Amino acid sequence: MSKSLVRWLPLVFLPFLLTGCWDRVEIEDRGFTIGAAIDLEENLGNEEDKNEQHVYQGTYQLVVPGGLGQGTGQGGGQETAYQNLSTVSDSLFEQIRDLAKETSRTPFFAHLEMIIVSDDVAKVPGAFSNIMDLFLRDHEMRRGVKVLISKGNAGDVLKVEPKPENLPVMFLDSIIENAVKNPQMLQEVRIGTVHEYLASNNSFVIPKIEMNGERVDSEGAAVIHGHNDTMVDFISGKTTEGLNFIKGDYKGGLVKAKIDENLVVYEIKNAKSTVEVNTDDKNKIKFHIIIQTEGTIGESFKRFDYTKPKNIEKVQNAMEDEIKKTAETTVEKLRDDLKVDALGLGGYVQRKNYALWKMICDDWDHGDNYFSKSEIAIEVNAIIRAPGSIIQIEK
Amino acid sequence: MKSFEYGDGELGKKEIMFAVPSMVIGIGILSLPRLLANATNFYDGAIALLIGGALAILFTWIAANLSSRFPKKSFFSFTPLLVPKPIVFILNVWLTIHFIFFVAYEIRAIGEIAEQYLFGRTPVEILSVTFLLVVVYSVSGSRVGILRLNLLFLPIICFIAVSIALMNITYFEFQNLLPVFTTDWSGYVEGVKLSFFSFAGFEIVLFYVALMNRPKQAAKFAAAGMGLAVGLYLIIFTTCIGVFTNDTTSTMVYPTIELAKEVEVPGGFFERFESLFFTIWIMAIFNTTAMSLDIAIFSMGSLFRNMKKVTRILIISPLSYLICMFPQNINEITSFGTLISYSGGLVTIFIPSILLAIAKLRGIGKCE
Repeated sequence: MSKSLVRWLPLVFLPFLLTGCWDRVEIEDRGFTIGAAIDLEENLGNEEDKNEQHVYQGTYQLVVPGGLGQGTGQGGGQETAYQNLSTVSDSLFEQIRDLAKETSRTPFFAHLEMIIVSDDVAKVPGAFSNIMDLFLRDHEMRRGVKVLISKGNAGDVLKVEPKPENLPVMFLDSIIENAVKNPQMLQEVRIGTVHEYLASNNSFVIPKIEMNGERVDSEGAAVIHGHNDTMVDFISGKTTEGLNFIKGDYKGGLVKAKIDENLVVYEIKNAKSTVEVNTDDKNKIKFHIIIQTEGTIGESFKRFDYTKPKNIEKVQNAMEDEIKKTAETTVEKLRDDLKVDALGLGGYVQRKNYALWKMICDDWDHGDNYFSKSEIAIEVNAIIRAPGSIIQIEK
Repeated sequence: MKSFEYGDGELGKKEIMFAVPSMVIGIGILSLPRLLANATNFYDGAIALLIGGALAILFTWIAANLSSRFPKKSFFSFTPLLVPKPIVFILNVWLTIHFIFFVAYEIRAIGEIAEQYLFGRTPVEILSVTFLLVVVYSVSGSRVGILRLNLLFLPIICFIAVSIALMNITYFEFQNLLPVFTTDWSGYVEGVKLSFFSFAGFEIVLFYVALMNRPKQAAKFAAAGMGLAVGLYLIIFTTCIGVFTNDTTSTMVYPTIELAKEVEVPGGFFERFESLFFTIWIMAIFNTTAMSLDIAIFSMGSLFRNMKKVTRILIISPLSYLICMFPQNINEITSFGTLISYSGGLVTIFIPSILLAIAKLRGIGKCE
């Protein structure tokens, strides 16, 4: 009798398991948040107060699935596929939780694509890394989220007219990926990479985004100083191009040069850079940067016979001068003007002479600033592989 | 001649070879890259990992070699031949407690990590007890069955570990590994210690070689199995440093999970690769926990010879569940784990070596 009772006992407890799953969330109830933009709302406390609190305004873009996938039909296309919600708080976590008060769908961040931080926020010491903290700490967030810095209001960027896409964030996302074609834009920076920069105290660059009326301007980049993780300044598209050349991040683009007053365009298919470093004198660390590019003639207003090696060489030399000029402008801007090593040259010293690096790493681009005293020589080696489909347009 | 026939309750060489890495790969692989990165500079942790791994392989070989000298005899039936009874008794109690704690640690850690990454609102207590119930179910059956399950799970685990490394290749930067040899000696010592203890768990060979039909091959295959675990750890560590850099790795709670989160596979379902990673990793923990619980039950059986297996299971499982709820936060769980690793380290370093020395000197037990 008692034995059979024991046997039936589990059945008594089993119904408790039927109360269901704690974590069940229907997909219709999820508010897929794909973009976040952080602006500075106000400065609480006076300027001298060391513990000044910053209050941020967060704008979050949620997908409205009903607005998506309307096919080719024109009817009913009025509904937008997204919803932008703004909340204000000094804690981003609180902002996210506040969102739930305003939207019927619980915000879900696992598909976050992009974080835009305004330059006002990035220029406040410590604020940039404070904002990154939540996005790295929370388990819902992934490490592939793209980070951008906006010139001006960040929330406005999320309102951009997304044509031909449905969602502003997806539109911006595709623009960033165009950096492969346009060297004046910076390659996408993922939050995982930002974490590496923040952990290592190295200076770095983040792509810039700016609303120019209705248009989006994504040329240039924001330079962030490693020692306090604060934004220093924006650099122009041309400077970014030089930076891409030096860092070996140049994926493709064009260089224009005048040969005997005629325009010739060199289309770069492939570029790489090698950096040699000489650390004999710590007050004059010497970098030798060799940029090597490969490509074809994209456009030639100069009537040249490109089968003649002499002519090819002439064009190559002209291109080398152009690229060198671009790279040197970047070096001047970063070394002499901003005095911030956004080129990652410190890493070469670290790998070459670790003992010296340990000594100078705190003063690399800060304090004594050994970086600003360094010597950077640039050598360019431009190779033209082919003249394109025609040799010259008229004979 | 066929060395293994299914259904005969005996183990072949393959089962032993798979049992060792299945036991070793567990909670430790999630946080080891951080610990190693903390102790050493840049990629120097790999050297520590290799030395620690070599030691682990050596001690696995010793433990398996010792057991294989006494074919078909389990640890507690051959130890009385070598050392006095009271010492055997102490060892027996120690090992029973050790494995009960091991089970407790595993079920708590899996509950904790599952709650953090997978379930937001389900309490840890429920997650742990559910997992424990599955493990209890598996150990209630045949002992050999658990070891055969390893054969099924381990290849999948290895496949996922390797694919994590491969999928991260785009983010892998070789220059993150440089410069080499910048760590000082104390860092290497710390690293070797950490790596060796992260390989703790191979003490199971003391118990499972007894089930082998050809124990002569045990040492070779157990050591090979350990080599597999070392290789896998090395792949994960290399990927962590190459992808994240040393500094960043040392700031992450579970770098291996972050590695899975870093991956982005285009096209919907697998975009979130970590969900797949968790599923597979839970299989790895399952193997570890099932084997520890099995040995705890077996070891307790040598203490109370007349007790039925079901009774032992019913005593040990609630006990380890109670123990697992003691630590209050993740730091306490970590120190709990460290304690168990040290206990396991002592078991694996001293006992088999001393016993093997005694056996050799006295000429007791011969592997034919």
